[in-house]
Amino acid sequence: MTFKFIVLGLIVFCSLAAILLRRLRLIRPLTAFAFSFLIFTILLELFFYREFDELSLFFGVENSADLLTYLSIPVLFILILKLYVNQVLNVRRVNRIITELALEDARKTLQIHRDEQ
Amino acid sequence: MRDEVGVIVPAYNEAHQIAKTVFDLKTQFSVIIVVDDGSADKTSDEARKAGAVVIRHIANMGQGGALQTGFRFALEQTHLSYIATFDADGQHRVTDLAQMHDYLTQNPETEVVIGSRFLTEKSITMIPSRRRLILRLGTWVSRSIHNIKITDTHNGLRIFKRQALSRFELKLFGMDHASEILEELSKKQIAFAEFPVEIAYSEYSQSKGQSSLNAFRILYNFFVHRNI
Repeated sequence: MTFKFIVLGLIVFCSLAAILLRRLRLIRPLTAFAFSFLIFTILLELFFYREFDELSLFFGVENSADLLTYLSIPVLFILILKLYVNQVLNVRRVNRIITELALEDARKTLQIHRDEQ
Repeated sequence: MRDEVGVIVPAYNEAHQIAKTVFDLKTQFSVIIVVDDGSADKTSDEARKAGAVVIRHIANMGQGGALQTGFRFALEQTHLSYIATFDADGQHRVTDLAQMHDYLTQNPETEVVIGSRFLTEKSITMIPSRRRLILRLGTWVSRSIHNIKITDTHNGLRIFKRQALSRFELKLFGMDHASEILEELSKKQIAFAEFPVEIAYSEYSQSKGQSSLNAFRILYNFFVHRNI
């Protein structure tokens, strides 16, 4: 039971962090939406756990907290993967800018050299 | 003097060695392009003084990034028929590159020549044992993934025909570029040959070189970053 609450606490923490990151315009709206969905589900679980337990029975899981934990794992995995991919792509974009700057500089130097000749 | 060959030398913090490397190359090749990959020392100045064309990155990107910049410069700003890559730390021999160029000119069907440390007994014994093991493992992995017959996957000594190089689409910036080059060779069915070369493992080049454990990072980067 403690473990479940730790997991839930972690999800709440991540969700609030996501909202803050979005407010600071550091993540995309879709990512923020996914985190918001998680928050919404957690709130459901906290305040309407009986109804949520009935809903979870529909999916073959006895306890709704279990269902939430199972659901959150792939969602969190996808979100972390998305953040990682974005980070790699950003590094690649920065590298492209560095390349362009270096080539532009070299072109100018070469042109000056050719003009002098 | 081989005027139709441009040699790209990616360099990072090589102020102590770069001038000697450029001078050595200048004995055989007229166009030397040093790509200073954001060095904190005077690599650019030393290379320029030695007579190289210098392209400078404002930040460190990795050897793959430096080579990509060099390739683009050679293809867009020059009319060189052959473009070679050569490490800055002085572990390659200029005579090997000259022989590789001769091989390429004598074999019109070959488009790329890659140096290999594993083709002669003498060069194999020159490789430190731990590095030899890692390289063998890397070669086995590359052969399995790319379905390509190669004996040395991470050799910085290569020479390309201009048309062949223009077909390459490289996007990896780190040391994993070597695997990417092999993948491109395999995917685009570019005719290549390996040529026996010797690597002088000096104390300096070993201190500058990659850690053996870096092989796992290269492998990870190749599999993950290549697919992003």
